[in-house]
Amino acid sequence: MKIGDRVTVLKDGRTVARNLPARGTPTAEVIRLMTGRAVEYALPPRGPEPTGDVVLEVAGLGRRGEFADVSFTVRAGEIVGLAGLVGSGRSEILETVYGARRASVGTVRVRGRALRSGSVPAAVRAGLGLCPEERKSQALLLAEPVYRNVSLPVLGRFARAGFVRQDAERASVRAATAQLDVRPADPARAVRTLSGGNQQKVVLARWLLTGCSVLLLDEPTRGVDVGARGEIYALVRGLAEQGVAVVLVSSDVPEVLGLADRVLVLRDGRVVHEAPGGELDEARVLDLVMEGSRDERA
Amino acid sequence: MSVRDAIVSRAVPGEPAPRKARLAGLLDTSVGRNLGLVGVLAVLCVIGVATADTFATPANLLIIMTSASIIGVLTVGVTMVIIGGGIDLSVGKVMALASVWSTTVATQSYGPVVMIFCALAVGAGAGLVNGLLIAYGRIVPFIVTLAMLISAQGLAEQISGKRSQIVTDPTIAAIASTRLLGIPLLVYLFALVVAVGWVVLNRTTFGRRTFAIGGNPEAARLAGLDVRRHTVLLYVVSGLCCGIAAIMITSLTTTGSSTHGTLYELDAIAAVIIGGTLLSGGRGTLIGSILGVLVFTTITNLFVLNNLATEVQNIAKGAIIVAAVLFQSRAQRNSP
Repeated sequence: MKIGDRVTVLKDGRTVARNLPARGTPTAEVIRLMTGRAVEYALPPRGPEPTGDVVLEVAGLGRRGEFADVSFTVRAGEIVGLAGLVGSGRSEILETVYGARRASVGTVRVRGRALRSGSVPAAVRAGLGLCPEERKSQALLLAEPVYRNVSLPVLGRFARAGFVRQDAERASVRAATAQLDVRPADPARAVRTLSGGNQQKVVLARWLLTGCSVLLLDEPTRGVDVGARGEIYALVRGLAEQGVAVVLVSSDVPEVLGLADRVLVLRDGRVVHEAPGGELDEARVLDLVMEGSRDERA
Repeated sequence: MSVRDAIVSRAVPGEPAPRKARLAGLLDTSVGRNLGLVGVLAVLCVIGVATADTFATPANLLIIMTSASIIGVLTVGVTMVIIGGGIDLSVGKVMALASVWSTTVATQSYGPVVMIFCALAVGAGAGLVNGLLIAYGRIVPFIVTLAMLISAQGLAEQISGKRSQIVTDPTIAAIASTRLLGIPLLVYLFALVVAVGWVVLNRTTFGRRTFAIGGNPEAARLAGLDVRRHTVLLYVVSGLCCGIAAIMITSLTTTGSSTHGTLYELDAIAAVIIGGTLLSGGRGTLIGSILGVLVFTTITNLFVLNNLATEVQNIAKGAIIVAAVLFQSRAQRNSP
C-alpha cells in the first residue's frame, strides 16, 4: 500500500475489484474484499448461552515445537471454535486432546477425570470423538460399506463372544444415518460412492452412534458443497443442543465465528485471544492471527 | 403391503443395475473371482484326465488334498496377515523350527501332548516376536519376517545339528496315517483350520478390525482401534498356523527337520495373491487363497504325473502368478 498507486483485488482466481486508489481505500475494505465473502449458506441461530456442566477441560497442554500452554474448557451444549492460520497448531491441538499425539505437558480432563495421554482408545472410551481433517485418508474405509464405517469404534457393542450380530449392528447404524439424513439411505453402499457431504455425515454418524459427549471437528466442511454445508452446520448445532460439547477447527473464519459460541484465536501455537463468537468479526480475527508478521515489520 | 409385494421388493434391493454392468461388475466381486478360480481348477482337472490315466483316481485326489493341507494351513495365517496390511515371509522356516523343537530327544521324552503343545508354542512365540517388532518396534513387516525366516532356519539347524530327528512316538505318526471315511486326518485338520479362519475373518470383531486396519490403518487408529495390539495378534495367529502345520509335517514325514518348509512362504503368498487378496491389505477372501493353494497343488500333481521336470513347473507357476495379477488389475480397472 506504500508502493502501489492502484490496487486490484483477486479472490479465488477472479478479480473482485480493480483500480482502487491505493491512498483513498481503507485497509479494512481491501481485506473485506479479499476474504469476507457474504455467507451464502445458512448458519443456524445460536441458542441461549450454554450453562451445562464443563465436560472437557484442557489445561496447560503443549507439544514441543507445535503449540504451548493451551487451556480451555467446553461445557455440555457449547461449541468452541479454534481460529488460526494453517500451521498455527489447530489440528495438532485437536489430535493431542484426542490422544492421537502424545502431549509433552498438560492434562485433558473429561467430566473431571484425566485422560491417559497418547491413547486414542482411552479417549474414545471416555466419550471423545474426532472428525479428522482429511476425511478420506484419516476417517473412512472407502471400499467398505457405510454400516461398517459407522460401527467401527463400537463394534464390540454389537458382539456376543466376539461374534458380530449383524442384524443389531445394521439396525443401529440405520437409525444413526437416518437421523443425519445420509443419502442415499442404503447402509450397504460403499462409502466411496457417496458425496463429500454425505461422507462427512457418515463420520458424524459414527460418533452419534457411540454417544460421544465431546466431539472434535477438524475442517468439517472441507470438500463439502454449499448445500450440504448448511445441513452439517444444523447437525452440529443440533448435536450441541442435545448436550454434546463441540470443539470446531476451520480455515473458514466466517464458519467458526458463525457457528461457535466462543472462539479461541491461535497464532504460532499459542492462544492469543478468546471471545464470544458473536463479538468478533473476520477482519479482527485476521488482524489477530497476522499480528506476528506486523510485529516483525515494525 | 401384501406378503407377495414384500417378497418382490426384497428380491430387488436398491435400484436394479443394467445387466451388462452387472456382468462386468461380477469379476470385481470376490464371488466372481473365486468362480474364476474354480473354472481354472476345472480346466486343470480336464487336462489331468486327458493327459494322465491315474489323475482321476481316488488315491491321486487324496495325494493332492494331503499335499495341499500343509501349505493350506500356512496360507490361512498368511491370508489374515496380508488382509491386515502386513506380510509374513517367515512361515516356512518357523514351521521347520517348530517341527525341530518339538521332536528333540528331550521334548519327545515328555510324550505326544507336550510335543504338540511345544510346536504350537514355538510357532506362536515366533509370531509374537514378529508382531512385537513390527507393531512396537516400528520395523516394516518385510524386514522383520525376513530376519525371522533366516534366524528360524539357523536356530532349527543348531538345535537339530542339521540332522533329521526321527519321531518315535506312535501317536504323532498316527495323525497322518489315520483315515476317517477314507480321507486322511490331515485333510480334516486342514478343513477345520480353514473353517475356523473363515469364521474369524467374516463373523467376528477380530476379522472386521483386521479388514479395517489393513484397509486404512490411520482411520482405524483414529476410530479408536488398538492397531498395534491387533497387529501383534495377527502375527501370533500366523505363528499358530505354523505350529499346526509343523505337527502335520512332522507326522507325515515322522521327522523333525530344519529342511522342512523351504520356500513354503512363497507358495503361500502366491496362493494368497492369485486368490485375489490385495497385497496392500484391506481386501481379500480366505476361500480365494485356498482355491489358490488347490490350483498350485493340482499343477504340481499334473507335472509329476506327466513326468515333467520341476524346473518347467516353477516357470509355469511364475507365469500363473503374473497372469492372475494382470487379470485382476484389469477387472478392477473396468469396474468403477
